[in-house]
Amino acid sequence: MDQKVLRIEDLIEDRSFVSFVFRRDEQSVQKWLLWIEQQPDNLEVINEASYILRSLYAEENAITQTEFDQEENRLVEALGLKVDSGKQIVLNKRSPLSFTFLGIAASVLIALGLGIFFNDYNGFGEDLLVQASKNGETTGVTLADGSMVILNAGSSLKYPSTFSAEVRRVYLQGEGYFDVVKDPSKPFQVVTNDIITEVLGTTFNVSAYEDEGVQVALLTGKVQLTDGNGNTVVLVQGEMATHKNEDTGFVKSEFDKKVINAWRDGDIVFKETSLKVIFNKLERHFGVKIRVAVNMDVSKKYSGSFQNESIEDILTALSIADGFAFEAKGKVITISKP
Amino acid sequence: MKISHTSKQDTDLWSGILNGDDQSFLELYKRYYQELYRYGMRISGDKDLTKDCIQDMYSSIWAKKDELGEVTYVRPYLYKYLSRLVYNGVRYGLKNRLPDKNLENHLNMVMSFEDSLISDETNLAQSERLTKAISQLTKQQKMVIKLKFFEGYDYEEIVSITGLKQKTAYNLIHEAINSLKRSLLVVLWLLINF
Repeated sequence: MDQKVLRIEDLIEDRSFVSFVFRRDEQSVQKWLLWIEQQPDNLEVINEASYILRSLYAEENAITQTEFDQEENRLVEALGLKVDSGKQIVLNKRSPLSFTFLGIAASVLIALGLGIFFNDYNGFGEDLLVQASKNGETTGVTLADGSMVILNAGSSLKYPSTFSAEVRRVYLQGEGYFDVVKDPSKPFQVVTNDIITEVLGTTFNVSAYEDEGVQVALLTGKVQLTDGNGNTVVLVQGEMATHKNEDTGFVKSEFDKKVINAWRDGDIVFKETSLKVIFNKLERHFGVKIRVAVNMDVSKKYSGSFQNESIEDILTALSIADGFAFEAKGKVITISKP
Repeated sequence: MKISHTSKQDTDLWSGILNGDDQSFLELYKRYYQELYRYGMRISGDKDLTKDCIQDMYSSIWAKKDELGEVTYVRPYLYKYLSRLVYNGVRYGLKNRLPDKNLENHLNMVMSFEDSLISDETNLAQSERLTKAISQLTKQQKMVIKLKFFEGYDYEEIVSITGLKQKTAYNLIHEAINSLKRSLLVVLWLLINF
């Protein structure tokens, strides 16, 4: 930092600089503002780097149809404008996780780590509807064919109000649970990043949170996967495909049900965090729904660090510390004080 | 100099607004929202601030429609108006965090850089050039950029998430940044020479 002349390459590799650009924390902001004052020669390269990073961020966070509609409504109401009461699309929301869904045999699980970046389907001018859920919230939508989608926290689904004649295609960003109505004449496709997952049967599990790229494990039925390069693979019950990148394509193998059901690998760390927040984190991380009994005190704080552990192990550790009991039925976990 | 082919229609909308026509106002709002939002985000990186500033801008235009005059080029007018609001918002947000009053001056310097790029109709082209350069980034570049800058992963984590080699990830990011830098350079050169 005492260097006289900085280059863009150095700036973008500096975490505190990126934090400064996006005003993520006090320390970084003050550090860099101070530094700008002391080293005015570097002002231009700092401006350049900031502008580039924020422009990238702006493209990634382009306004969605839903957000625009909200803002338009806000303005119309604030100014008391008269609106052309033409097509007001009402989204058919399912009540949040009524839990009967998870027991249904024809359920399909899809999880995505990385989302769609700069997607071409921003909603503007397209005939796609958007259903999005905020962080810490799940929300549902019913599609034109009766299929139901439940979106996990911080996810969104783009879908047409009526499906085309040949295919039922939706675009997912984040995590979703799909309950797909069988229709052999019209395949159901979920587009996630470059991977199209086509439902030929009924039950499968797709995870893009794994370290190995995208993994699809088939529980029952049949699934066909295609990536952006045209690589394709068909899976039958008990088989699993892993996709790292478009050069290597798909690799087939058998899978251990327990490992797949443990969902993502990765660290869970929390420091002096309330149970409420810990449970939210676990929900988000493992794609489960945690129901907490009323007699639980979720404000109690705990610290912990788990590496590559299953949700069962993490909850066991927590239950020993806090003295609660938990029961898992599929993806629903109930927590109570005995 | 590129003149927007819709500028005639924009002025019609503007006249409509001056006459108190709701539909013209909403049409103008819809027409430029997406790009104005992008612009506000480029300056501030702040979604809520950008949304609020656009809201304020249009509210003010509507509230003051009796006092406003004709505008020849509506689009750059909106950009300029918005940039003022967003800069003030950023400045206000940082005001309490500055340890020293002198830093305010330097904050102004930081911001005027971007402001100078959008001072009139011609310079809107730079915004479009950068947008184009970003759209030409490869999917892999975009993915690694997102992981590193927006999700905050370090190279080790990126390697385990994507399966790419560390060197590859590094190169992807830096090639992308360089190509964007070049698109900006073109414009700076134009500014100097015209």
